[in-house]
Amino acid sequence: MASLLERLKETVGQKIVIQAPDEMGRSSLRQYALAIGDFNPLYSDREFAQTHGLREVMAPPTLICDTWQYVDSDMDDRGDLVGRGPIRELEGLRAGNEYEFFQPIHPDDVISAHWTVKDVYEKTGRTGSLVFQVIETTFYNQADQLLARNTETMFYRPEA
Amino acid sequence: MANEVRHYVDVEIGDEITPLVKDIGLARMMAYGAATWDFIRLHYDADYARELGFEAPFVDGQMMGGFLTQHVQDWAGPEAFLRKLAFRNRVMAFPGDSLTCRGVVTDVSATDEGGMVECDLWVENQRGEKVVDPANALLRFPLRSGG
Repeated sequence: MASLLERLKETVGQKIVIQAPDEMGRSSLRQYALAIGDFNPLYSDREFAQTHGLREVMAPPTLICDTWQYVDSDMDDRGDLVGRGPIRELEGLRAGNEYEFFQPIHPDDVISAHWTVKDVYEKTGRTGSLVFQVIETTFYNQADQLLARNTETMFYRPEA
Repeated sequence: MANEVRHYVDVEIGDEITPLVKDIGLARMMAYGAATWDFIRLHYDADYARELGFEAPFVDGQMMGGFLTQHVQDWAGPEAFLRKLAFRNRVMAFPGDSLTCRGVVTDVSATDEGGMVECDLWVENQRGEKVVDPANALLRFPLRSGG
């Protein structure tokens, strides 16, 4: 059986595109804001948002990078959405994220997420070796406008 | 405060970003999983987390991005736009932790795009450990009133 490093190395360059079945939706924005405990009226009050130059309430910026709502599938017993594709393994832990936002995201945006594995590498430190995987996801709306880009680095402990 | 407009001319290098305290509870962690359609049991199921060798369910590292966004957007006001946010997770956060987001302005520059402000950010827990470090944000501010 291939090692974790070998398996992950095979993902480099792989791309998948996931198309949301529906709009982001106003209640998704409120639910995320509630989870964070961030009651900024930009996310919930249309009049306030319009007073400050927006056409409509905007999504909390990181929602689009964090949500799996665009995956239309069932889940397994671990809670993993089975339709999110084979690129990332569930056992990965998060080393960090880099987000870039190009314009406010609104409830009527229908998202497509373009995933690409950019790099896989091994690093050996004091606690042993870790395998890192760098994934870039770019988000567009139904008008093919670039909304956001998320470069995330996950790490894995190789099997003993 | 979240409702007050701040302009580029009001920001100087060395300014402190108003600290933001976030108390972590299991209900909020579950709510975050639901809000992001991420139903991974590691983030809310204590027995399951211990079976996999963790002391307790731990906070999804991405949640730090949501906290840091609230931190900088509250300070920057409703007409500032968050262009970039980057962070490294260092120490896991667990239910019962009290996290404080902190930051300082490191650069300002007037550009064609607007008044750009860079900040260094970090998140500490109640023991003074850096949960997130380093982190940084780039925000675009209105250059002046009405502009």
